[in-house]
Amino acid sequence: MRLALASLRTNKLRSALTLLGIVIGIASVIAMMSIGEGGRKLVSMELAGLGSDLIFVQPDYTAEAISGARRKSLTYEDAEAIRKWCPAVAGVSVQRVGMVTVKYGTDRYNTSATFTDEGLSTMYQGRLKEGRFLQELDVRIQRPVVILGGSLANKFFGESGAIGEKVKVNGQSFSVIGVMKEEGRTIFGENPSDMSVYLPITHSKRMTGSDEVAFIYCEARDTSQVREAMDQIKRVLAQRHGKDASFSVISSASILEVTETVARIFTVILGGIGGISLLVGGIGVMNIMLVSVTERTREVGIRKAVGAKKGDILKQFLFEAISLCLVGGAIGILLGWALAALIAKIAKWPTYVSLFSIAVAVISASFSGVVFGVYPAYKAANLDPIEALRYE
Amino acid sequence: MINAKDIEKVYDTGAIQVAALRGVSLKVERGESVAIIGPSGSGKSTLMNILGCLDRPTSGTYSLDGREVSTLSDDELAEIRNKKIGFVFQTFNLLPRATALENVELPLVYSGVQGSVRRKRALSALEKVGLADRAHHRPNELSGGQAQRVAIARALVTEPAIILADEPTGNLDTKSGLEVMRILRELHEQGITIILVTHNPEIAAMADRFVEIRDGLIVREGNGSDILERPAGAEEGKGGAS
Repeated sequence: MRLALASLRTNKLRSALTLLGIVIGIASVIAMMSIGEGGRKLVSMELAGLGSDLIFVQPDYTAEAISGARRKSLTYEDAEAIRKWCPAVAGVSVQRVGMVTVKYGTDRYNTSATFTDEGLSTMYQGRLKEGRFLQELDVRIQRPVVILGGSLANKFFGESGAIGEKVKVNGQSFSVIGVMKEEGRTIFGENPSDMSVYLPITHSKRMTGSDEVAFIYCEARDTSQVREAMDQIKRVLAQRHGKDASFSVISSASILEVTETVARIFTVILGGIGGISLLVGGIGVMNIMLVSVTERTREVGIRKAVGAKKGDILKQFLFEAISLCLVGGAIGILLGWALAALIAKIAKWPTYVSLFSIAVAVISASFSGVVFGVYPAYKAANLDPIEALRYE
Repeated sequence: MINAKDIEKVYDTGAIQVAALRGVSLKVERGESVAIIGPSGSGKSTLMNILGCLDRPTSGTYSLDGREVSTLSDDELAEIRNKKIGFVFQTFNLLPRATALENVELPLVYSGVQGSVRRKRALSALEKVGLADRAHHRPNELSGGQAQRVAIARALVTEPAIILADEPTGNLDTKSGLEVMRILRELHEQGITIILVTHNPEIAAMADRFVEIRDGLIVREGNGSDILERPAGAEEGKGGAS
């Protein structure tokens, strides 16, 4: 009804302030959901890049935490055994993480080192900026070679020219054979992997005093053999560590599934936080509508005297509340979108405004219009025309 | 047209019950004009509200245009008001934010008349009260007399059977008041039933007939010209002619 819109226009400032509540609510729903969705997309893309035929073997940290039993460690030899005795496994790689000191000239950094082998090329496919990954020989003969994280290489050598240079790792001289791409900043600050180094695993014992392996990852011969490969790996580990040895052996497909689920929950929680501000905005709408009904009691009386039915009055006020919320919703979507883009730019966090989140926003905007408009509208509709006409 | 019998209205104010009407019977024929007079608090406004289908009697029957309306629901009453009754109030009761034309259109909005037809009918109603040139003015841009004429246009735009006017001249100067009464009388001559509520005997004298109410009861009835206990020449020669 035109008259409903006209009355919104008359109280411009008040309508605008009410609108603001809805705008902020919808904008935060959109922005929050875009952060969650973006994170989910990033994780799935990263995991999808791994392929669905990978198997991860780790000491079972949960069992240790629950029962207090000393966990069994994985060693480089375990990886060798898997390579040898598991026919369904095509490739095996190991990783161990420790802290090292890296020095070039007068610059020195304490940073994390990933001790690994030639399997790195599978794991980190496409992430190398220049140079090469580790080769089998590098590992076997403990060649003093190192791959630098993107930021670290930048700090030492600038944009290029790192390959072939020598850096000191824990005092020993290593040649740089590769530089990783920069992962970029995360929402929490600089990505730590940009500052780390990658070394042949055979250096691990001397540098960190341990050759315990954090995890072994294996590639099944093909996707259909993943289950078989997992069984073979478990059998080999049981043989080497005893029957009660608990290791977690999981496939990349199931990790993908779990992360997707977690990310989805994350999105819902973030959306919920946005939803709370929408609720606050909705209460603002209800407040203003109640004021408006009281102010326009006489108008309601006039309308009723000339033949407006309850339903007509109800519709008028409801329509007013819903149009407030929808206009607010539309502005909120645009603002939320802009906010998402800003977050993406400043925090380098990939945001993604999905059609779904826009649908959620539109639906919740009109829904809050109905929910928070219905009580004031009902109140107006049930005014006694005589009382209403007498109202000053 | 109007046949109200033994109308009682009791207001329950919690502690005490106030009887505003204590058995009023009133018959009004089609095309008649009737003035309801009485001091304030006499119950004449209550009677007007009931006759105007804004309120229901506590007891008694009221048939309007052959239909018993004392037991209808709120929405049914709204429809009767929309189709059969036009209101003119002392305080005009125009929507302040709407133009004169929009105000006149309002009853037609609720009877579901489409936009262009609505506009045409509203304009012709405004023409009848001589305000076609003020169609796009808002109430605060109109004089009191003009505002009341807009209200009359609104009352007659649905071509109602009855126009109920509650102190239509109460807020107007003498000249505007006479102008408003002239229009009402014109409508009456066109065959519209008019019920006028007033405490001004001179205004009431312009009706065919008057009914005086005191303390919720009819105490006196008579021809409009008899209301003034003065020689007939003093009432400007305007009595019921129909």
